[in-house]
Amino acid sequence: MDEHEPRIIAFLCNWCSYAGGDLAGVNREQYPPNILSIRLMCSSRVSPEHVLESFQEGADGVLVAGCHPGDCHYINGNYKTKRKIEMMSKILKDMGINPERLRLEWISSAEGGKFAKVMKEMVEEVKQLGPLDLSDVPLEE
Amino acid sequence: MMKKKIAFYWCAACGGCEVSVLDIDEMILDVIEKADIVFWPCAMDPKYEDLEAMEDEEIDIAFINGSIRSEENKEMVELIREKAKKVVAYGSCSSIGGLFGLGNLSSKEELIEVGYSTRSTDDGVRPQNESKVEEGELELPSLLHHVVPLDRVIEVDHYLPGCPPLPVQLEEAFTALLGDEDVGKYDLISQKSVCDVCAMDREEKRIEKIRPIQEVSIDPEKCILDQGVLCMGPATAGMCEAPCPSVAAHPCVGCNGPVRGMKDQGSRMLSALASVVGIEGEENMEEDELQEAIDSIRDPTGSFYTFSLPSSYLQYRRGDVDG
Amino acid sequence: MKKDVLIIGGGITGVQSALDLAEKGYEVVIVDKSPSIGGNMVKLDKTFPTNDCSICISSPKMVEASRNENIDILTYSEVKEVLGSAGRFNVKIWKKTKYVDPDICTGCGDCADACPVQVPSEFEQEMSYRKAIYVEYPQSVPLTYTIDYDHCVGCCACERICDADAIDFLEKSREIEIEVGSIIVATGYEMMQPQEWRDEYGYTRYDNVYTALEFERLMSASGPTGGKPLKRSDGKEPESIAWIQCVGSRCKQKGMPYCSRVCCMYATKQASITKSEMSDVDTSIYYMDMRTYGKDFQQYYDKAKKKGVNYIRGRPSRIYEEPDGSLAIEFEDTEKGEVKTDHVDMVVLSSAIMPSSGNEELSKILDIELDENGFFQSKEDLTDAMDSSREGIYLAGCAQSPKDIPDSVAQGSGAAGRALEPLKGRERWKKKTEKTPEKDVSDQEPRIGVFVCHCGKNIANYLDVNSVSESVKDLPGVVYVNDSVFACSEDAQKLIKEAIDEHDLNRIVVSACSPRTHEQVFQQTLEEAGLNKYLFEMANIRNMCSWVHSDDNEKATKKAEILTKMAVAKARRLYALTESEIDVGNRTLVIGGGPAGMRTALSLSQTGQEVTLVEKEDRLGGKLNELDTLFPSEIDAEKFAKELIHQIDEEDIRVITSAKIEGIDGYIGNYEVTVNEEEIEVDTIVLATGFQEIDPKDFYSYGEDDRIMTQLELDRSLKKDELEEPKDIVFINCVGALEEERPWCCRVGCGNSLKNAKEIKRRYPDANVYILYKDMRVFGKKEEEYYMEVEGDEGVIFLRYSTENEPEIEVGERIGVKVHDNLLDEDLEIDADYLVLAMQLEGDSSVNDLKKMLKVASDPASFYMEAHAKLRPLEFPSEGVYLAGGAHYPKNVADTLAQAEGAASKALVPMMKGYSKSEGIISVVDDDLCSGCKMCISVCPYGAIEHDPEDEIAKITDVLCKGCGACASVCPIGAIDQKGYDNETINAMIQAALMEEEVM
Ligand code: FES
Repeated sequence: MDEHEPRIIAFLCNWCSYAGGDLAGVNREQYPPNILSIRLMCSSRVSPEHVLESFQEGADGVLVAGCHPGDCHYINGNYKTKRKIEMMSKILKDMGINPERLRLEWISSAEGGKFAKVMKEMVEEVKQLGPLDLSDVPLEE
Repeated sequence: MMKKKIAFYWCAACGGCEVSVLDIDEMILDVIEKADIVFWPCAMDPKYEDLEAMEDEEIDIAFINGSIRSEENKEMVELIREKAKKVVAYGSCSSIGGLFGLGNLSSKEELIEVGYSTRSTDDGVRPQNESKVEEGELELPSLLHHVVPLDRVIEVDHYLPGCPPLPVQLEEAFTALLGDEDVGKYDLISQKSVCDVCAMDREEKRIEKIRPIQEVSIDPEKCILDQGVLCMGPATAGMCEAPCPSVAAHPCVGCNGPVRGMKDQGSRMLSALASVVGIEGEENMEEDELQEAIDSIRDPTGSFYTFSLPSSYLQYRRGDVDG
Repeated sequence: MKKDVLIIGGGITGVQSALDLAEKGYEVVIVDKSPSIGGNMVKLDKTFPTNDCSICISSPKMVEASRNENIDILTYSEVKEVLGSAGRFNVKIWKKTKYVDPDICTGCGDCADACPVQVPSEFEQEMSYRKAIYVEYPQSVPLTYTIDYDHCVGCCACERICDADAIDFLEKSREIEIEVGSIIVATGYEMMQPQEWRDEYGYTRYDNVYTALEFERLMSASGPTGGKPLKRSDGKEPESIAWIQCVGSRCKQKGMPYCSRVCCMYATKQASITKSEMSDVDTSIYYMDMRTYGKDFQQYYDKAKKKGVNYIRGRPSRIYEEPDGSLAIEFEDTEKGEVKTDHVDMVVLSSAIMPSSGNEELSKILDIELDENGFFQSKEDLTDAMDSSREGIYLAGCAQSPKDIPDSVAQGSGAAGRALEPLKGRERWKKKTEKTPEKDVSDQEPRIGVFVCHCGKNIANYLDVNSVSESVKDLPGVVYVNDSVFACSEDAQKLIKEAIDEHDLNRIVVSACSPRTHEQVFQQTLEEAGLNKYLFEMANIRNMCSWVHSDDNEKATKKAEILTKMAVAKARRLYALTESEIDVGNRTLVIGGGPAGMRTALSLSQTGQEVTLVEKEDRLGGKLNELDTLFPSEIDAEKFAKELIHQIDEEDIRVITSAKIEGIDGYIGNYEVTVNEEEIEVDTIVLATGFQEIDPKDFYSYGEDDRIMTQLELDRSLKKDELEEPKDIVFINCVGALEEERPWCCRVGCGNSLKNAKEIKRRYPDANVYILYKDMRVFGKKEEEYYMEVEGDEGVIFLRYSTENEPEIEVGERIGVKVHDNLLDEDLEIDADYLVLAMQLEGDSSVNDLKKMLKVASDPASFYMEAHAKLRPLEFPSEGVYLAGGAHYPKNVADTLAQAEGAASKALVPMMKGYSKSEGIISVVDDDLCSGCKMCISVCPYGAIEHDPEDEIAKITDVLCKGCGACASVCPIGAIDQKGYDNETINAMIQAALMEEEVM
C-alpha cells in the first residue's frame, strides 16, 4: 500500500502568514502539496470549532498561522489565537488525539523560507502520526 | 379531544428527571386531564412484556431520559421508538449525553476497573455478562463502547435538555406537546444563553485568571465570571431563568448544553474564555505569565464539556495519545 | 499634467505624505529614483523597539499608495527642473525607461530566470546577485521588472520568454512635465561608507567587517544567507560579534559632528535578536553613550542586557585581522580605565546616517538651502522644521536630519499638512470615476463563473489547467468556466465582463495567483460589470501551488483542483457587502493648550475647520510658560508661546481655559463632550495633554530645602531671574528614571540640563556647574553640537554616575553632594549652592480619566498608546481620535510641532473627506441571539463593540470595525459572525477541501 498521504488544513492570516506563503512561491521554495490553506483576515478569526470541523471532515492535521507577536495587523488578535490554540491542544490530548496534529506558527510576510519549512515539517510529522480516524466505532462489540 | 397516551422511561440516569415530573405541582392535574400515562417503570412497575404487547405507535409521546450507556438502554429505547409516535429526549443526558458522558474520557474497561476496585468493594469480582446463581442463569447487559445521547440510537422528535428540566420548561413543553401545537425539533431549546436570563451585574470581560470557587468569596450581585470563577452561562442555553447564579451564587455548570443550533458547547466556551483570560497586558506578557493564565483553567475538557461531551465533535476519547 | 503635490522620495516618509494628501482628495505624484518605492525601511529586517517585521508593516502602505487613485508613482525617475513658485511649480521629470511595459508586466519573473547576466544586488548590499532584468525585492511596488541597461547584454532571452510580451527594447526614456502647487522633499538618507571615513575599522579590507545595513540583510529571512549571520570569509556561523557605535557620527574630524539618532537602538536590536536566535554567540556593543531615548527604548535596552548582550563603553581606535582570521578590536574601556584588545569573529559598524548624495544637486534644482552637513535646511530648526528655506517646498524625514521611523512618519504627515497651504482653494477629488450601477443579485441563485489562469507558463507548465477547469464545471452553481493565458491582462478583463453579461454570472472565481496582489484588479472588473466587488473569490494556484510543487505535475493539478473547488464553495455563499459611511463634519476639539495643542489647533483652523481648544490651566502655553529657553536654541519659550497665542487669537478658534472635561461620548462624526458643564459636539478629537514631572518629594531631600529644586523650577527661576549668584551648582539627571519602578528615559532631561548649564554659565561665568548624568542623551538636530560646546566649557563638569550608585545628599549650610564618578572611578564631594533635579517625566494626570472616556489605552507611564509604534504614531486604533506631543511621549519642540502638524493632518483626512467609511468585511451581531454576555467587548481592539444598555445586547459600530473577526470567534453562541468569512462559509471551505478521500 502507498504511504499514507496526510491532508492538512491551514488557516492563514491575510497579512503575514498568507503573504509568507506567497513569498515562498515567489522564491520557488518546494514543499509537499498536502496542505490546503484557507485565508482569513486574522488568525484570531479561527475558532476551535473550525479546527474540530476539519478533523471531523477528515483532516489529519490543522495548522493555524498568524503574524508574529506584536505584528498582528489588528494589533493583538494573535495573542488570543495563541491562548485558544494552546487550550485546544489540552483538550485534544484529553480526547486521545495527539496535540501535534494542531500546530500554531508565527510566519511573517518575509519568511517564505519558514513557510516552506513549516509545511514540510508538519506534513512529515503528521505522516509519522498516521491517519486520524474520527469515524464512530460500533457501540456494541 | 382524545386523551393522549404518554410514557416515561429512564436510561442511564440519576433519577432527577423522573422526580422533576413531580416538580410541576398542580400542573400535573392538567397533564392527567390531557393524557394517560401508559408506561412509567419508575412509578408504575410495568414489565417489558407489557411494552412489547403494545401496538406500534400506540403511545403518542414517549419521554425518555438518561444517557444511553448499556445494551439494555439501547434495546429498550429501540422498542419504545417502535411503540411511540413521538419521542422526546427528556433532560440533558438523553439530549446531549449528560454528565455521564464524562465517562467517555475513559474506556469502558477502565471504568469497570475503577468502579469495582474501591477499597470497600474490591473482592476481585467483576460483573459478568452471564453468571450462574442458585435460581438459574442471569444475564447482565454490557456497557456500550461509550456513552451516547438518545439521538445516536433512535430518531428523536423533540429535545428538552435540562438537568433536570425545570417546571418552567415543562410547563411550556407539556402545554405545547399535549396541546398539539406545532413545535419544531429544537424549539424547546433556547437560542439565547443563560446570560440573557441571569440577573447578575456584568462587566466587559478582562479576566486575569480563573480561580477555583473555594478561593473566592463570591459577591452575589456580580457576574461570577467577572469574579474570576469559571461560569458556563455564556455558552449554555438559557431556558432555566439562571437559578444557579441568581439564587445560589453558584456558577452555571452548563447543564442545558449549547444554545439552539450550536453544535459544540465546550469549544465555544473555550474560544470565548481563552480570548479574554489574560487579555490585560497581553502585549507585554512573558511566556510564563501567559502559561499561568492558560493553566488557570484547570481541566478544560471536564469543565467545558461537563454535560455535552457525547454530543460534541469529538464525543469520546480515542484511545491513548500516540507519540 | 496638472497635479497638486510633488513628493520627491518614495520611502516610508514620502509615502506617508502622499497617503495623507491623497486621502484628502489631492492629486499627488511620487518620484523615486529607484525602480521601486520603499526606500530604506524595506531593507530592514525588524524594527525597534517592537521587533516588528519591517517589510510586513511597510509593504501594505506601499501597496495602499500604489492603489490609491490620487497617487501616481514615477519610479526610476528624477526631478530635473523646477520653475515657478509656491502654488504653481512647473516641474520636469526625467523618467528612465525600464524597457518593460508596466501595464503588461505581471511580475511573474520568468524573464529574470531566463536572463544570463548576474549583477550584485544593490538591495542586498551586494552580498548576493540579481539579474540584469530584475525587481529590487519580491514585494516591490510597482511589481514591474526593470532592465538594467548598464548590465544588459542584449541577448533578448527575456523578450523570448515573456508570454505577456511586456518587454519592449524600443521604449525610450522621456521627460514628463507636471505642474504642482507644493513640493515635499523626502529623499531620506544614505548610510556612510566606513572605508571612506573610518578606514581604521577595516571595512572592505577584512571580510568579516560589515556595515549595519549589511548585517540587517543577513538577519532578514529573505536575505542572502536566509536570515543567519554567516561570515563572509568562510560561510560559517560566528562565535562572537561586536558592534561599533558612532562610526562616522559624533566626530567632526572623521565623519559628521551630529548624532545619527538611530544607531544605539538598531545595534541593540541586532545584537539582542542575534542573541535570542543564536544564544551561544557572544554579542558586544562598543559605545560612547547609550542613547535609548524614545518610547520603550530604554526597556528594550535593559532587556538586551538581560539577554546577555555586553555593553562596553569605549570607542575603538582600530580593528585588525589576526592570522587566525579573528578580528582584534583595540579600545579603551572608559568605565574601567583600561586599554584593551578584544577578539571577535565578526564586526558590525554602526555607520552614520548621511545626507543623500543627490541632495546638493536637488537643492540647486529646487533652489533651497542645505545645512552645513548637507541635509536640507529648515526655515527654523525648532519651530518650522518642515518648512524649507523656500515657500511652497517642505521637508520631511531624514532629508531634514537623521531620525527614526515614527519621527519620520510624523514629519511625513506634518509636511503633508504644511503642503496644504499653497493649495488653498483648489478643487479636490478631481477624478470622478463613473460607477456602473450595481445589480441586485440578492435573491438570485448563484451563477458562478470560474476563470482559470495559465499565468504564461507559471501555472500551465506545472499543472494541467484544463483538468482544473474540467474539475469544477459540474459543481453546483457553476455555469461558466474558462481559462486564459493571463487572467489579469486587459483583454482577459474584457472577456470576464462579457461572460458576466452573456451568462448572467453573479459570482466570480478566479483561479490564478495571490488575492493579496491581484484581488483588486478583478474586483474592479466586477464593479465595471455592475457586480458588487465582494461577489468575488480567488484560488491561489500559482504562489501556493504551481510554484511550490513544480516537480509533481499530477499532485499539483490535484491540489489546484481542490483549491479551486474550495473557492467555488465559498463563492456559492458570497453575498453583496456594502461599506457603510457616516458623515464627518468639520468640528474638532483639541485637548491641551501647550505647544502641541496650539499648533494642532492652528493647523486645523487654517484649513477652515471649526476648532475648540481646551486647556486645564487658566492660560494657554503649557510647558512654554515654564521654560526659559528652548533647547538647543536661544529661543525664548514665553516669547514663542506668545506668538502662538497671538496667531490663535487671529484665527477663529474657540479657546476654553480652566477647562474640565467631564465626559465624552460617541465616536467619529458625533462626539459629545462635556466641558465645564457645557455640551460640545465635535467630529474629531486631538489629544495634546502633554507630560508632567513625577512627584519629586521622595528624591534627594527635595522639599526640605528651597535650594533643592527640579529642572523646571530652575527654568522658572532663571526666567524670573530669582537665582542668587551661585558658586557651585549641581544638576542630577535621570532622577527617578532608568530604574526598576520607572525604567523609561524621559527623552528631554539631558538637553534641558545642558541648556540650563549654558545659561547659568552665561549669567554667572565664574560658577561651576556639575552635571551628574548616566548617559548623555542628546540626539536631535544640532543637539550633539550644542553638547560639545557646553562640554568645552571648563566650568561645566560632567560626572557619570550609575543607578546602582546614586549620589548622596547632605543638607547643611551648603548642600553636600557625594558622587561616585564611574569614569574616573573616584568618589567626589561637592558643596553646592543649589541642587537641581532633572525629574523623570510621566503622562499628564488627566490621562486616566480621558482614556476611559475615549476608550483608548495608555502605558504604565501614563503616555497614550498609539495605534502602531512605528507607522501610526499619531493615531489610535480607531479613526476619530489623534495624538500629538508629550501626551505620546516627551519630546523637544521640533518633534512636538512635527507631531502637531502631523496629527492635524491625520484628523483632517476624515474631516476633509466629509465621511468615514467602514470596511466591507465587518462583523455583525444577530440581535435575536445576542444574550449580552459581554465577552466580545474587550476583545475588539478598536472599541467597536459596545453594550447597549437598553436592549442589553452588543452593538457594533460599523465604521469602527476593521474586520479581524476576533469577536466572531469569541461569541460563545454564534450571535456574531463576520461577513464574508462567516462560520458556514469557513466550514463549507473545509468540507470542500476534504471532500475527496483521494490521495494527494
Ligand atoms: S493579522 Fe496576522 S495574526 Fe492578526
